[in-house]
Amino acid sequence: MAHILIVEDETSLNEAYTIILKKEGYSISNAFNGVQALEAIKQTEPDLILLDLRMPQMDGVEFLRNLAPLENYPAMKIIVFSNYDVQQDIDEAFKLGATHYMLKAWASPRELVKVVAQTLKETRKTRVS
Amino acid sequence: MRKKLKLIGNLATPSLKTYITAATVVLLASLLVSFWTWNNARTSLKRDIATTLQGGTDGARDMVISKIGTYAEVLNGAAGLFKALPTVNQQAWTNYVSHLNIQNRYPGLQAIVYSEVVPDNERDAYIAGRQTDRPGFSIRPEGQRDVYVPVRLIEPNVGENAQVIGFDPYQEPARKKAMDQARDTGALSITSRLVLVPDQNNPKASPGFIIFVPVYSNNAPLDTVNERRAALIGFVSAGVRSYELIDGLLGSAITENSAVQVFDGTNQDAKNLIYESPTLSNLRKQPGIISSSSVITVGSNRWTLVGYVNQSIASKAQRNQPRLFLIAGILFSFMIAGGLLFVMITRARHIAHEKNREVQEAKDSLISLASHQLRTPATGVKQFIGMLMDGYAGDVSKEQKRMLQKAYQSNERQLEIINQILHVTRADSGRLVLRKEPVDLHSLIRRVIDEHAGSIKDRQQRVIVSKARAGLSVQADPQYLTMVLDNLLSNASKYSHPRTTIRITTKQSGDTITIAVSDAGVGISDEDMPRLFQKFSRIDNELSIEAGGTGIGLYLCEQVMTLHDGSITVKSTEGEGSTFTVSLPSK
Repeated sequence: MAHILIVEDETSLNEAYTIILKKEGYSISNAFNGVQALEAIKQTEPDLILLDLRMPQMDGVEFLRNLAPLENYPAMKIIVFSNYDVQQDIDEAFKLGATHYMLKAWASPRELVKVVAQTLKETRKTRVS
Repeated sequence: MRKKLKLIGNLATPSLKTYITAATVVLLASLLVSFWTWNNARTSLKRDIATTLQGGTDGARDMVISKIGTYAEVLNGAAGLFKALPTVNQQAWTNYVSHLNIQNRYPGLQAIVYSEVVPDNERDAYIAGRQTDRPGFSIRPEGQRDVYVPVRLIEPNVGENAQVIGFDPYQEPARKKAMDQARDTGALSITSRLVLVPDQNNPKASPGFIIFVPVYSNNAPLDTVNERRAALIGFVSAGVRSYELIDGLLGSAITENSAVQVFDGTNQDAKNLIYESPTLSNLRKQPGIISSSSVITVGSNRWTLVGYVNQSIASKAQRNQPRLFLIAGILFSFMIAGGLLFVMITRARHIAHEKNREVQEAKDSLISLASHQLRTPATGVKQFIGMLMDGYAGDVSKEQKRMLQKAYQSNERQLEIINQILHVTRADSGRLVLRKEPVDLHSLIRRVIDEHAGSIKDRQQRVIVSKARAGLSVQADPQYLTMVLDNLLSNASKYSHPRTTIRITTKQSGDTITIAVSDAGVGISDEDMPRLFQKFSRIDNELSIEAGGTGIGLYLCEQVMTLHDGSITVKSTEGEGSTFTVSLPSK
């Protein structure tokens, strides 16, 4: 079963997503900022990252910068999963290798499950909102 | 212009008054300087003209004095005969004087006369003696006086001149005064103004005066007045016609732009006038005439020479100079004030623009941040209530599910409002940016319906979708298009009673795709129609209180559709239902 890394600084949300995705059978790692996220990747390479943009210590964009080049992770998909919809940040994230964007506030648990499943099924380089 | 001013005003109202005041102050100051310069130039010009005129008048005065001196010298020369010859008879007189050619060389100078002093006790002997040369000689006027000074010699000696011989000028007060003056001073003396009678060369009487020069006996002492009186033997005199004198002297210097008057004495009265240029009467009619006077002292007499000149004494360039200063000054003042105002207003506009931009940017970041911060806790609620409803923490009873759904919907509404505020702010400041991509229309519609499934089921409503054909794709921003359809479906449900049907129909004609959402709800009245798409307007109907809403949903829909180069329209009948149709280009 696929491995998903949840990068989210809000503890309650982090917990909620973990519960939802664990129920589907995915194995989950958690990080609460960019630094922890980088650590987590070293330990287990995820198939999918749910990446929040605004986090303390190292935000989502910084994390992506440090992660580059993404050629090292050919199978990995990154969903920018944020409540912050400033176009510049989103564009920057895509430029750095993110493949999807979703507004957190838009996704009910069911939606989340659907999007994750869909994304994992795709091959790299396709985009869905 | 007014619009522009209004715009300027809006951007810089408090400063605009200040700028106009400042520019006006500069304008006034500059105008003041211009007027001051103009006035200075005018005054300077006047002064220069006056100075030039005074110079001319003084020059003329000197010439007159010199000329009279010359005439006196001519008479003195004649007086010299009495020093040279033991007696001077008419023949000698004639020879001498005619040689002088006074007619041609001394304009205005009349016949030169010699009168000799005859005390009363010698009178009869004198008359007898004269009658030997001239039968019929007598001293005129008749009558007894202390002393007589009859004319003995005159040249030219023709015509009426001959009749002058024997005439005694001393009994005429004006002449007497001058003769006494000459006798006592030993120098020339002139009479005050006289009228000289016509003679053969001068058919008219004209004003003039007589110059007297004393003749003393040879070798007599002449140091004191008394010695001079004792030594006096006669006078050489001549009349001078003042018009000819002055004409001959100044005539060539006078043009149509100038004139001269000479008065006997210091009182410029017409009866004292001994010369006036013919150009004066014309000159007087012109504006801007200036005059200056000069006093001549001749003997013990004083004359006043008055010079007149019009503005043409200054060259045209000089005369125009003050006016040019003024015009240049005024132009410059307006230019500089206008320029200053322009610079200030441009700067103010620029600053205001910058400020506005900063404000917009600040507003934008604030809104983005605020919406993010507001979304976060609401997202948490959404997840956990969603999880509860979906049984993640165990089965829920029907009643529990119902309550959870109410909570979930409330929360959804909150998220919706946050979205709307964010989008409206962006739309208003023109920062709403679409990211268009090919969108599978029916999947999008499906997703929107799924999102509302719960609340629609609660209201026991149905949604029927009729597609034009399968696989309709449209070039649009999926997020915003979803928002529009979401809003239309939500309205359709909210403003319809339970157990009604909502229809969603898609169509394609040519390059245009339409999506129609129709309901069988409360409808919209004709009078409410105009306000439908306005910001913050909510229509009152029987379901509006229950429905709630911010009033910006349809406004946003219109903004979004316009950005898509599409449109949104509505057809409605009150009490029967409404159909909202969204259309946009497929590509």
